[in-house]
Amino acid sequence: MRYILGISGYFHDSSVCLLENGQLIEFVKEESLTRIKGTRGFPIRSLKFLIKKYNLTDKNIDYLAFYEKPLRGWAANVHYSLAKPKQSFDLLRHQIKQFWTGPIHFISELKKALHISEHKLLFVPHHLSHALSALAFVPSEIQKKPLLNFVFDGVGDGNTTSIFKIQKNEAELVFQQDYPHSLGLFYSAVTDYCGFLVNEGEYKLMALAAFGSPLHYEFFRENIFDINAPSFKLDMSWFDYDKNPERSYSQKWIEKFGPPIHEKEINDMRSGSFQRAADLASSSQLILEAIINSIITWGIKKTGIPDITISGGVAQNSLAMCSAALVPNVSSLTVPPSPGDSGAAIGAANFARMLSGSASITCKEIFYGASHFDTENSVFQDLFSLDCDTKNMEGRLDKLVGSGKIIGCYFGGNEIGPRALCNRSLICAANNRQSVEALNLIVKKREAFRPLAPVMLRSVAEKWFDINQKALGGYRWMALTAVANKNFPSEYESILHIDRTARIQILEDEEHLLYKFLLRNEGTIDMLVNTSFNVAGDPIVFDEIDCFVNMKRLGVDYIITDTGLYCCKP
Amino acid sequence: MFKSIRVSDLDNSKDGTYLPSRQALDFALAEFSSAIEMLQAAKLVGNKSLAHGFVNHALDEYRHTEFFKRLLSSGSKNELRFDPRLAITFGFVNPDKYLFESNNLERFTAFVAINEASALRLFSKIKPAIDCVSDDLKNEINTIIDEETNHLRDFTKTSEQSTEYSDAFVYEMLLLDEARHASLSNGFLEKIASPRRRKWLRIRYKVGNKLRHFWGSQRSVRSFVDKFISTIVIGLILPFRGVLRFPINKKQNLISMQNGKFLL
Repeated sequence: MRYILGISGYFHDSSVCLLENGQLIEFVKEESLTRIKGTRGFPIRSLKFLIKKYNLTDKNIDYLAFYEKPLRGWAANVHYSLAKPKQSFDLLRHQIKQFWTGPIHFISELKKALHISEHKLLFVPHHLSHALSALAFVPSEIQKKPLLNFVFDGVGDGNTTSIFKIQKNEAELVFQQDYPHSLGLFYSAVTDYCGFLVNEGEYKLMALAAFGSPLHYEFFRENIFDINAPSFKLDMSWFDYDKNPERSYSQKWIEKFGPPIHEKEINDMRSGSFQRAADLASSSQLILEAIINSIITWGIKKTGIPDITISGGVAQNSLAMCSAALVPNVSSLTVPPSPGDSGAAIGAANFARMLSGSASITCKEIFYGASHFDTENSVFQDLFSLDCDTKNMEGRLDKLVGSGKIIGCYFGGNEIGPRALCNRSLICAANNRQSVEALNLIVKKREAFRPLAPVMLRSVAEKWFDINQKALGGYRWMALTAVANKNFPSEYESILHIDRTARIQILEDEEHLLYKFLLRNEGTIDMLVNTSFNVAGDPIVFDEIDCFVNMKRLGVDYIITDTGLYCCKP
Repeated sequence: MFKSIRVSDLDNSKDGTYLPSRQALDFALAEFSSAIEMLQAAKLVGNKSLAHGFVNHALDEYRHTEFFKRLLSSGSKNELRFDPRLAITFGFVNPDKYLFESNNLERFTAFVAINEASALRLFSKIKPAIDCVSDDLKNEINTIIDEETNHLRDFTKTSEQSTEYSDAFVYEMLLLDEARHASLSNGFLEKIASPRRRKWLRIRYKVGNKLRHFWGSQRSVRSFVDKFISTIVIGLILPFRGVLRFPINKKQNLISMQNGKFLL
């Protein structure tokens, strides 16, 4: 067996992926093993886990690819900050400290886990890693054509937006925007102002947008952004992220938009603060979509290539991806299941694969690795009791879901993106309003303004939602939202957002137990609600002990697995 | 909680006594880190009854984390937010090597026993602030349990629905949990270590904690040293700003060995 390792780390979610003979077989997020969400250091645990599992050595590894140039990003940011050292003193101090803890130590940290020949080490430009991670999820028939890859990011290697033209094994840079003019950092600044955590709460801001009006859109366009597609510039007097490591928005922003909003104020949906945040969210969402769409339009016009991919942290904004799919002249859109930094490990590994002249990897699966629900573990017997074996499991599952129970699901490999896609999920019947509300507000303690996402068969999706055929693959991993059409039945209303959109998942795997469930219960339960199997703020469950701890904390009694239906012992 | 923290004075204002928000954050992070350490210990210990005990301990610590998170978000002038990654940044936990991995069972148990006992003393110190915040939160609490005292013992064994209990009640349970953790760890330590060894371990961890807290309390000194060194470093690299910019070659095929070889 020949292996290629891809690694991402140091800034957002660290992860390691493994290619075996050119096929992606494993993807492990460091947070799954540390149990601290968003762990961003060197992914030592994930790497050691894979080394042990596959007996990886210098002899059977062809390449080990890191997802960025360790010095380039740091140098570019310091170069920018040094232009105004007095103003940026706090940020410079932070950047200097980062030098001692950042990716520059990649090689020395790697040596703690694995000794590998230096000529096998690769450092892939950050945005190219993003682009090649998206390429891996492009359907094979489209992969053969020339592709236009858009990367919309916070910042990586000093760049914030990139366009690549990729054909066979050649990638050409079409356009690049440099720090600090960044769509991702702009959106994070508004996230910060609205009281959510940066690099964590952006999806909440997106959900808030539907409750507001884009009152500030024109102001943003005229006073904050200078848009000249594909380039855009931000007036940095409105922001502090280039000067202050603690706060993203400036005093000028506060003077214009009022005092910063506290997250707890947003929980009261009738408050003035909620509306203020919603209007800002709506305006930010609209300008984000307008800029992304104008850059895509420019790129297609410039290159004549209509098949596009979008990746980078901003591509996690499923609303913007839905809007991008509607851009005229786009003939196909691929957004990978893990478009952020964590998934860029796949792009780095793909780079190594393509170096030797091989075609890009093609990922048809959305789950990787094996189940870690170890029923042979002696502790397992102490924690769980078998409720039903595999023979009688289906009938029991139908009964439990039908009666409104919330069930934990743990099947096979794990999802590679941030969204639970039925293998590490909590589910309940989407037409049982009480269960949906209990799961959303009591079990997961989510905000009332964020409805849960549904999972369904393709026939149901096409019947009740406006599905964009150009981006069909993305619905398998919730990359886009879809708008409910007039046929949408009222008993399922609780999964719709206020703007009648939902971040739907189309289940295509006929062997999946939940696919069979939906087929069996057609007409009775056509959609299940699907949310990640974790306590808010924690990583998704990894093994049987995590399952037990999370079930206890969430108050969930049952878990369905490949080996049976279990319940927690008291 | 067996991650030690230093408690400064409480905020006394006209409205009542408050736990400074940074302190509430520290408590939440210390509880969270303790939960993580216990969870990792449960996965590694290889003894099913110990593993079960560690899992239950982790569940308690997670519940305490939620309590301090609510306390943190209840502060009126509070701008601090709980972010689990801060547990790493502030040094509460080192995910590269958890306590159970860097210590044997004896040392791990001693560490837990000694620090659980100190945690009890810390919680007693902050009691006035808990009482005050609890009054403020009264209207937000939906369910008041009638027979609180009778449920205490049961509740320390389960973790469900913790938010339905009043803050004062959760705090009382938290004290009970900590006392139970300290007594369990002490009992286990007595089984596995000699009295002389126990004495040495106690001195070692107590002195270690005191030294760490002393250094932690010297914020102004640390800030001065930090700024001083940073100013020198910035001054030294400023003349070389120009060499920190690396243009990318737009013409070449980016999927090339040359493009993958260098750190820059």
